[in-house]
Amino acid sequence: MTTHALPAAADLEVRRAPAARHRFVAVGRTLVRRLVDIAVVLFASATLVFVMLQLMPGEPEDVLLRGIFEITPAVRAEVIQDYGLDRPVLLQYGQYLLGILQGDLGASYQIRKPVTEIIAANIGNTAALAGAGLALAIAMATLIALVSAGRGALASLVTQAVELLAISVPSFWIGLLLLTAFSFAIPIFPSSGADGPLALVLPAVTLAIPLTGVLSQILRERMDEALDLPFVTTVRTRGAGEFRVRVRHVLRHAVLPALTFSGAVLGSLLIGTAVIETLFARPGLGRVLLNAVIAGDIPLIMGVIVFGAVLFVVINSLVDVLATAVDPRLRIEAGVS
Amino acid sequence: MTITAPRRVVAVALAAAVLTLSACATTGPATEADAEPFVFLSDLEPVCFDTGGYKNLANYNVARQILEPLVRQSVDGEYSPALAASWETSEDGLVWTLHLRDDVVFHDGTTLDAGDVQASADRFFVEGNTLSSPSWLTEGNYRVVDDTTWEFTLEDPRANILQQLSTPDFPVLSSESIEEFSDGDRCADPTTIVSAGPFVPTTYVKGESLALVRNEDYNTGAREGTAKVAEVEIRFVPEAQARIGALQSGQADAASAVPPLNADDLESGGFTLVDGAATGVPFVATLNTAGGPTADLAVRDALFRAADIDGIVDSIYAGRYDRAWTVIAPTTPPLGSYDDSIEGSWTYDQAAAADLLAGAGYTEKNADGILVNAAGEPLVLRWIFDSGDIRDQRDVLAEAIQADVRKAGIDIQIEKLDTSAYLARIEEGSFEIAAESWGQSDAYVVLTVAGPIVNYPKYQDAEVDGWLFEAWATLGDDEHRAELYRNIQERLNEQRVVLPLYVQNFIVASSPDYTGIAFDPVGYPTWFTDVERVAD
Repeated sequence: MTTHALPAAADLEVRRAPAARHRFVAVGRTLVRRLVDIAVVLFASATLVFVMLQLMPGEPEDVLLRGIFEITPAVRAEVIQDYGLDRPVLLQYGQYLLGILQGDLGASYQIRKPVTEIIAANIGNTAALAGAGLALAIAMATLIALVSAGRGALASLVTQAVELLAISVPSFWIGLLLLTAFSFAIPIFPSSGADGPLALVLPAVTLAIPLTGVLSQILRERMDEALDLPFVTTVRTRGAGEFRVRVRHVLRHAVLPALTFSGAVLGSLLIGTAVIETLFARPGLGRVLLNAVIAGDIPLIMGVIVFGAVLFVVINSLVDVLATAVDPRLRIEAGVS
Repeated sequence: MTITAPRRVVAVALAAAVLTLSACATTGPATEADAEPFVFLSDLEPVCFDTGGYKNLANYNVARQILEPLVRQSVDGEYSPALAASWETSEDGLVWTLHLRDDVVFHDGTTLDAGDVQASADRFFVEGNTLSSPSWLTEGNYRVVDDTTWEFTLEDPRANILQQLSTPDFPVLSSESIEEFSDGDRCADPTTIVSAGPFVPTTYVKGESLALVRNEDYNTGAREGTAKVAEVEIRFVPEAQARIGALQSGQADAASAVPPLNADDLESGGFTLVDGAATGVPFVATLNTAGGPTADLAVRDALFRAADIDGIVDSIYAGRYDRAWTVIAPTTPPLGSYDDSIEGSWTYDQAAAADLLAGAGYTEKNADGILVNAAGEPLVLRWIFDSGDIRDQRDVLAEAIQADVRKAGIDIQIEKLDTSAYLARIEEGSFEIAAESWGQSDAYVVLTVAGPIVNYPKYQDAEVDGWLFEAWATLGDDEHRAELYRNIQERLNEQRVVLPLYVQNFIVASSPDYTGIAFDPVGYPTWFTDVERVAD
């Protein structure tokens, strides 16, 4: 909200162009910054994973082959060759980084497939689950926040209690309840697999419930704050109805933190849905990671960690760029005024 | 050696794709029941499907449907022909000649001959391969004699060779398919494993399911003819309650690995429970006889008496699993190996345990109520677990024993380790208790707890070693082998080397509409050949 005097119509015509240019420059600068971030995260995560491998007790080839009961000399030779383990550590590090830059995240010696292939085969199902869960959570949280914000102490207390419950009940338990109700007792949805949209419903709802709790907290608190701001009074004096005030004016104030949070959550969901995928027997990246941990498939764990770190920062960067485009204040922070 | 380790995995199958691939299965009009696949919910999905590379009993669920063994071992330990119609051995037991059937057709339509078996064996010795060959098969010691005759030579005579030939650890594949697909393909995708088993794999979705159709050319089964059910879908559902719910709501026809606590409920709900008793070494606590407090026989004996094993096993497993008394399970072949005279030979008696421990120098208790010896060292027993291998509430079992023996002043400390740390601790002997089970349908598996090869308890006894090797080399006299294995059990019991805990039962729940789920001799529900729908 500005306090400038209203400019003449002719001035507005002139100033529109620089504003658009500013926006473009701001978005461009944010984009460049984020690309640097991505490069840094890629480098840092790869380095961390490499150091982790060196620090684990035992020879690196034994660590990489952990979980395989009978390690034949041929498998050992293959691993030594793949990671250049017969060469000095610095060269190994260089080879590893170079491989990652070329999109080579290594191979699982248990499943006998490249890690990228395993990720590619599973990311779709997980993305569908995470996307559907997040979309559902955003819709429900927005609704709850719109209805409950600024309704007095009692309403606030009840909403908070519901939100806390949604956040604190374990997903596993929510999923089991949903399964029991809507698959076992009333057979509407299949209990396992990822075959078709029907199979997505229960896992997505399970995922959405705790997310809704957190998102709705963020939205509601911001809306509570915004409802007390002077501009709301101004809007009301112009004769705007309650619905218009909330949806058109107050909600906008709350969207940005919610957007940032959603970005962070989506990034972590893409490899963090193991519990739900296991319960609903869905293929997916979370389950791949969980099984890799159980089976001691170190190359797969390493690959998924690097992939997950990069994915996380990529998604958050996209959200940032989006936010810069949406919010004028961030353009100022980006160095363009 | 095949080791029972829990590898949780995944998969599912699509019926539509199955129809296109079962074009050969057109014998008469399909009935309503034929059109429905038999849906089996498995708790485990193999990490790698090639049993020539990844030996794990979890693979058998799938491997037994697809692969056909050279020799068939029945649940009672008898052998009958499968791919090999007959076999003979040289006088010294070293040269084995297998006479193959000439009418076996692989899933790709090619006919089995000795060249296929040869190629299946060669697979293990190709430069740079990553498989692990069965211990009986060594490079250059096998050959094609003629089209239907294949021969191999052992380095030492082995009494359990037929049992070894009956497992999926040596997959006989069509030689064309060995060329066409790589070992990596076979590992990751079971539909590239081309053998002659009762079912043909058609569609595999990792993390979800595997679809199988009946092999219409199958003629090497335990009975005449093909499998009774036309299609099977194995779904990989790791969560027990999800499996049970899906079975109860009619989304599946059978569910594997039913927790004992759910068994009564399912039974009263009209479901059929079938169980297969595991063979081999049951779940036992091996005691380190070479170091620490358990090096003292009196301490081991006290531990035997200080825990109420009967009560604990009964309450944790709801009476569905039996308490184990010796180092092999009662049904382990060869017949008569199990020494039932050990049953009931000691009782839960904490007073007796206290006397034994006093005799071992543990006379005082410290402030925590733990016995200490003259040097002031508390009686601490480290019980190590491979955390990747905890199933069947085995950790709960350990905690119950821990609580019980605490009353007798023994402090069991449970440590859950990852697989490699666990194996390292076993090797260096820094443990007092390590609990394990080894599924195997032959009593030779006692080598895991005695003798010079594996021997977790590090128990040295020349006489036991002698019996082990004698049994190993005893051909065609199972009675004598059984007697030797009974001697070993008796000695291990006297010396309190291994505290037996329970005999696993692999429990499968099935809808009353289906019968015929069979277990392989190891006790895994692995043969669906006789599964059939008995109701509409």
